[in-house]
Amino acid sequence: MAIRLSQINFAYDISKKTNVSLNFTLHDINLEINLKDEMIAFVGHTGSGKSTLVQLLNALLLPTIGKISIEDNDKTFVLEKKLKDKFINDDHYKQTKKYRKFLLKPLKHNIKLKELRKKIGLVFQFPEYQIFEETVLKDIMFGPKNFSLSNEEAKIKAKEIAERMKITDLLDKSPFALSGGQMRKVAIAGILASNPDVLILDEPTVGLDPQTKEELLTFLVDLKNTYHKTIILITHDMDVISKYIERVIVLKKGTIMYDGSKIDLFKNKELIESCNLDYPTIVSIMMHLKEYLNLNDLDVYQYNLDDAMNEIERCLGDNHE
Amino acid sequence: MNNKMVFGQYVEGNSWIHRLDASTKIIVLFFMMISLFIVSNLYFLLGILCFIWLIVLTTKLPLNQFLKSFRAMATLLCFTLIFQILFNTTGEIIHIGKFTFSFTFDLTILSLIIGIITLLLYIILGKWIHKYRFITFIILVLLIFYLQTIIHITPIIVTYNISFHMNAFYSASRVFLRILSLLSLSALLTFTTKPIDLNNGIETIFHPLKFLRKYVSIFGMMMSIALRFIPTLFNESQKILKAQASRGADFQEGSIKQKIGQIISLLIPMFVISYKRAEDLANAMEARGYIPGDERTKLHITKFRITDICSYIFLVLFFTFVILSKVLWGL
Repeated sequence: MAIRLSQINFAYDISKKTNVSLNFTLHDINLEINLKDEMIAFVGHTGSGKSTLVQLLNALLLPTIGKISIEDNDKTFVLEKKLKDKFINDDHYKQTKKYRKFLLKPLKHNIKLKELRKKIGLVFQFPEYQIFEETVLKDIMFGPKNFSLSNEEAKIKAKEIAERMKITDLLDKSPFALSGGQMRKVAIAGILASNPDVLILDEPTVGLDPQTKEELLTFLVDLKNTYHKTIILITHDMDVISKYIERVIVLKKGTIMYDGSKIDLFKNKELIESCNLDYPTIVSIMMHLKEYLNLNDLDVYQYNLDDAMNEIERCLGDNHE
Repeated sequence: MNNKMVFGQYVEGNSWIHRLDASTKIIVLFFMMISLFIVSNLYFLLGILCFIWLIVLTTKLPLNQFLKSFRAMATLLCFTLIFQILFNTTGEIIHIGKFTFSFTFDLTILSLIIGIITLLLYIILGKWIHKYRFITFIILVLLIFYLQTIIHITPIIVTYNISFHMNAFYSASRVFLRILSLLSLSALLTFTTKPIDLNNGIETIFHPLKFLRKYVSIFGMMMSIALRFIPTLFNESQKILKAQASRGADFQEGSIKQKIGQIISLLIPMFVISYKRAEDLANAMEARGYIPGDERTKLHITKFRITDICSYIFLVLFFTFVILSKVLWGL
């Protein structure tokens, strides 16, 4: 019941000429993601390979070298292209044209990518790229219909999702008459309607007002808690991470720098600095307080307001005494 | 995704052709093309082609890339040649010594059946021949024709004759030389001129049309924006493709019927995004003071160099020579 990536390498343009250097967007990625009950954030500077990685998970891009396997109760999908063992550390071979030819060869597989995409849904950053039908209802139905549901079933599914996302009042409207936030909700509904196990969202909170953002994220948390789905977000917003996310994966220049809980991440000062990450607002306020008021035993790693207040009170109380 | 995607065939360079004013290039090219159709003498045409290729050599363009640009037209060229050779039946029949290029074929039931079977085999087995597919096809076709010359068993459907004539050979080579020269000329232009410069050149040429000038400049702006946005829109289309693929629209694995149905899911977002972009761009242009048809200064002022003047002088001489030779000697 997991997605496993092992030794994934990915490059967009591979030149046949050996004098043009190879530019791998992803290097030796090893990753395991459960198909159930996870809340993950991919973090990293622009160009770190987050979006590429996410597209690999959805098989929109296929790995240049490496193996992706998705194990589920009833079926296992494997996408694999392997370099022969004897060549793995052979630097001389990697200078040759044969190696380039090997890299250029498309990955062969005998699985239907469509079935894989049914398991793993990806919502892109801009909803305009996918909305096209006359009404919101029809647009939400597009996904399920592609995954071979009948018209009636798709309609029922779409209405159910709309109710869950509280957008039933939009169903008969034209999707192009909606506001940005509503459009994004419709886009997410369009993916959710095909009932994927894993929902991946590329920067879902950008450009949303605080209230809509809050709503969307609570909805996602709810989705995970009630329906046991795995949610993966790409985000730059550390406050979102501190509030909603459990597991953080930090990428830098195509390699995974960190994979673990948010608490350990924010304690790792060097990593935060080397990957150009921020602290969540509360943590940075606490850090300033600690510095200006010389509160040496203040625990700065607090992730909600109440805890932070309590911690400050505790610390100040100690000092006053 | 793919930043390399650039519209047009422009190759970076600094030869004298690169530095020529785009309008000069267009005008010279235009008259050269006209003269190609005035001239009908084979040797003269060959001379012009050699001359064009000599110019190409001076530009230091990558030759393989230059030759590759003909590939798209190769089939058309082949078809024209085959039709010219097969259906032009004037003049004497070509012969080398005693051997005349005139063949009689008998289409018999037997050879017809063999032909159909070979065709079917080719279609079925052709999937496994990747490299030499085209050559195998030609060999098979020739074989079938050869069979028709040797099999003469009675149920003959039709007897026909193919002969190759001298005039067919001449006209075919004339067409071949003309098309090749035309392609080389236009390739020379597009390889050495950026699309934007090309557009500026056209604008300069139409400059004398004063009463239309407003429209000329608007049209020029439209052209350059359209050219500029082709790669951008291409990128957008890739994104839409991916977004719909993640919703299960199947552009690679599905049947043709499914694919056609799903094209709509590509086209509509494409239109919406293009309109949106156009509107944003219009606003951004207006915000920076663009008024359609108003006088604008140019970023790159084209300088008239000595090479431009030389080109024009050469063009006048060349064109008069072509016309004189046509009138006086009928070349």
